[in-house]
Amino acid sequence: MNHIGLINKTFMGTTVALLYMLILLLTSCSHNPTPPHKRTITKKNSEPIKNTISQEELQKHIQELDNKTRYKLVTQKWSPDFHETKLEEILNQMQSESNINLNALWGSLEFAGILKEELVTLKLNDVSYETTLNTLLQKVSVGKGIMAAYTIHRGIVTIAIDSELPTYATEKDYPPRGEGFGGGGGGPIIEQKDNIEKGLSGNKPRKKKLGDIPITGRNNLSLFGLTKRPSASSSPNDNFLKNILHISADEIWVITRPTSNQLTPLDDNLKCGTILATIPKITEEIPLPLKHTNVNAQVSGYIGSVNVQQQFHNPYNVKIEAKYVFPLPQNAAVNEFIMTIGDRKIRGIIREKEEAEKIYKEAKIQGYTASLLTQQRPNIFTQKVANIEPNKDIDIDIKYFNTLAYNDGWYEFVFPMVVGPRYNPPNSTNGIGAVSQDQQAGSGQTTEVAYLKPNQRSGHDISLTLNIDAGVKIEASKCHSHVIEKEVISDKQILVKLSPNDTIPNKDFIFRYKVAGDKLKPSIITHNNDTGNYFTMMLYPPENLSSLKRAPVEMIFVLDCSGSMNGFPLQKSKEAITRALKKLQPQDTFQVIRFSSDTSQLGNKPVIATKENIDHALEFVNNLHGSGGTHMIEGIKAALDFEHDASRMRIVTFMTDGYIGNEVEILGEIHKRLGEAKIFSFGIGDSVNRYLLDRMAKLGKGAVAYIGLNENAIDTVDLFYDRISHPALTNINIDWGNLKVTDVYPRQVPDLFVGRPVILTGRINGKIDETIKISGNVGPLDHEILLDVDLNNNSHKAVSSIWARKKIEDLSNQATYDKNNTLPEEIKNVALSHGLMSNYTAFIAVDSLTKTAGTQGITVNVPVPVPSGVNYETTVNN
Amino acid sequence: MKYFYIFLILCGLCISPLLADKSETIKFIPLHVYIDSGSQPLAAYQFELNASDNVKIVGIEGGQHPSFNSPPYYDTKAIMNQRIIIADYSTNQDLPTGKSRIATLHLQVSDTQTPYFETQLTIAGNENGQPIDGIISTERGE
Repeated sequence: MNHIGLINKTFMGTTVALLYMLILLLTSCSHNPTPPHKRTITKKNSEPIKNTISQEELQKHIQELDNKTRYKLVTQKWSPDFHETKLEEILNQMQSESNINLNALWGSLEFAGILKEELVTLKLNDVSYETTLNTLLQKVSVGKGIMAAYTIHRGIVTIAIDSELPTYATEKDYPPRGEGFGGGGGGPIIEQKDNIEKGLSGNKPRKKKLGDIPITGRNNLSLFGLTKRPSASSSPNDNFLKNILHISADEIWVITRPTSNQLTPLDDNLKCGTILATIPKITEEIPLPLKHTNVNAQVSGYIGSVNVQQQFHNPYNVKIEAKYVFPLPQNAAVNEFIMTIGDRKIRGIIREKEEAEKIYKEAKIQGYTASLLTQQRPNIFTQKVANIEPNKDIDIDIKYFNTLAYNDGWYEFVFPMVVGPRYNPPNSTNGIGAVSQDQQAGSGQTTEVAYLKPNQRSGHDISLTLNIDAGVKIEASKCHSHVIEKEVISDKQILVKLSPNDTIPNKDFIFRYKVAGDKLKPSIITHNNDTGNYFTMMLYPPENLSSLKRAPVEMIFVLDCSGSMNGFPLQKSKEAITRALKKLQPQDTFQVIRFSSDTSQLGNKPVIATKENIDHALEFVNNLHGSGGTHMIEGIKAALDFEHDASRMRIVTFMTDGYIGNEVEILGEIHKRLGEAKIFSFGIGDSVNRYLLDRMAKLGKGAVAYIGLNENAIDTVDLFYDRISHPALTNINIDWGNLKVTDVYPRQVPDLFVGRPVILTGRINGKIDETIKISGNVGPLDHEILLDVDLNNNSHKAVSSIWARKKIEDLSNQATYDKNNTLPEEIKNVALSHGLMSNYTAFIAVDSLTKTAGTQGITVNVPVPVPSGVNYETTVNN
Repeated sequence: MKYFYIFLILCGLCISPLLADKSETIKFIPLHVYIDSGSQPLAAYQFELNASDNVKIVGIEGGQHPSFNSPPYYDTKAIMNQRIIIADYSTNQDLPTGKSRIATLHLQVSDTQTPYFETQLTIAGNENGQPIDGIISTERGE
């Protein structure tokens, strides 16, 4: 009987499944056949949301703005009179007088030899600003073999090298092509990035080339307006040049971070509400199950406490399982997980990963609503929610702590919003696959991120609130990544909200605030609980290092020329390397290596930095192109296997977006081959793989720098040289006095460079007041630093979680090269005892009170947009 | 030979349900937990659930009274040793008295052995932080 019963059940199950698929197919076929860009969706409150703006309306609006700007440019007149004046100053004054937004892409211009500081004499009488601009660009282009040009988009005049003007324009506005404006010469501008490639009246969009990285013109308030972009003469980074100490809240030494990509209010128009995705094997496009993400962050001192709420909604008429791969900061200590169904909240339990996965699978099969949070990388997580019934909502709340970076008086809060597409070497299966949303499960990787096509937009939006209590006076604050609303609560507190006009989760949210005083006082933050007493402490380099000069260096440049770097990222890398090569001194040596699917290099060993060698290298770099895969391992081998010249400090600089899936292998290889080298990683792009780049720098005892696509790479390289231009405090030893200190991370205190602070986290017992003695060598000299600490001060409950996270990180780093089988067990035990996410633990929550009808539903992956500035064609499915 | 293979497949089809029958059956059950604090307002509590090895906690839900309807906390270290220690407190003015459901535990139970669980109230306190007598009880939910 049992057999028959089971066979019947199986047969019935199959029949039901087939019927269900048929119904689903019929249902989907009966969906509104309206074209995607016209479709409406219904939100939770059942109010239909119209796709916010039609393409025609948008195009008309942009065209009107451009025409107004062009009109001002042509009709307003002045009499410029400049004698031997810097180009940047002329443009500044022109903007100030004309009230026209000018945006010079200095990276592009300076790479071609048109410098900000170039002295220009220009005397004209009663001419239009257009004539002035044309004349000026002509003057600075002469003899350089290139032509500077400008284009107008969204009311902003962008100036760059002719060949590098942003591709959203149909045609360049200068050099001139016709008469007047609004006609053939000044045609409408096509917004290429934001899904408006087709259907515009008038001009046809320029055909997108493979490898074109469109930029959005979002840096339009950058150089000339009141919101001046940090430059070599005025940025906060420049303050750091004057200061002796540079402090960070983490032990990763960060040289620079992206500061650009500021949006304009015009981007309001692009807040589309249409959700377009496809359930696998169903041809009709339908809304997605992830509706909204709400981020609520509190910062106290340098510790952030962040609650991320993911709001899932089943918009279909069948039961589903939602699956969403998302990023969190790589130092996030995730310690709380709550599933909300209606008014009921269920706390998730931390369990061994395999066990949690089994529980989830069983609950899913039996029809219970359940959720599972797993970690694929320290900065990549997967959320699964099973058995969401039609039209039902389920919220997931995730809480984490992390430490904020500190840079020259500026704290930085970062919230990543999208996982960038990774390249996975052939035959690898444990990577992060990047697929288009209609070709899911095709990457062969254990984790897969589905990406929306460039002409699609997810209805998933994000809101973010950041409440900062600095504890000391906040002197300044800024957000270059997003449009924000800011409220000053007091001189120590500010409240920041992401503007409702900027809610597309396709790039990192970065907010910085400057606190009073040039330097922070060393302090210890402690916390006691039933698992022990913990502390974190910032360690500073000595002031007098800044007066000493650097030793000769052996500089190895390693350039990622893979497909994801094609276009602007590679251009940025070239700018950076060019600058770096030009700053080498005669006693230095260097080599240049490129890698993509293969590796090649300038020569077989480092060469002396003669003018001839540098020119040869510049030519080599200039001829590089981006395509193919990211075989970084080969680049690492090539860079670290040179025979080391002991008389020079070996510095290996990697320039990459880090979009690879085999991070562990890369880190293991670096550890194996590092030797005396120091690694400086440069993250190029607006949403790079910070986990990899930070770890490379950390393992390589170097530093990391982030260069956004609209950044001036030259400034960053200058800062990099400044950092390496002073000797480090080496062989550091800490005398803790009467304090009993154990389990300190990092285990070995790294060398302290000028500007490089280090955070130490450990367990502590002992007297409440103590003086710590830090000693080390500066060249042949001994050096000693004394720090007074007060263990009664600054108790913070996050400290134990942060310590546990550091320990997990340390053990995980060790696991990249140490095949000790007990390491996973050790990591798991630390994670479980502190209730933290890790590679070996996961959060599970099951609602056993209500069982949904039928068996498990269809799995719907949540596709995401490719990060801002990343080329879909050369990364996804590649 | 072909018929032999067909015979083997048919045998496999017949045997597999028998094998499947022998595998463990897993159930998910809710367990409501009540504390009766008599006339004293209940402001804080801690209890421990002692359970057989085939019982696993897979979620914790808050209670009935508004002061305790947020999901309580659990001891992460204890759970590693198959001990389930749950605790919560409330600073609200309005606190429950008498018998009140203070939590619902979502449990996974396998039939590898007869499931067993027992709750033990470690401590209960009033709004002044003073210990009070309380009676803990459980009820299997539906």
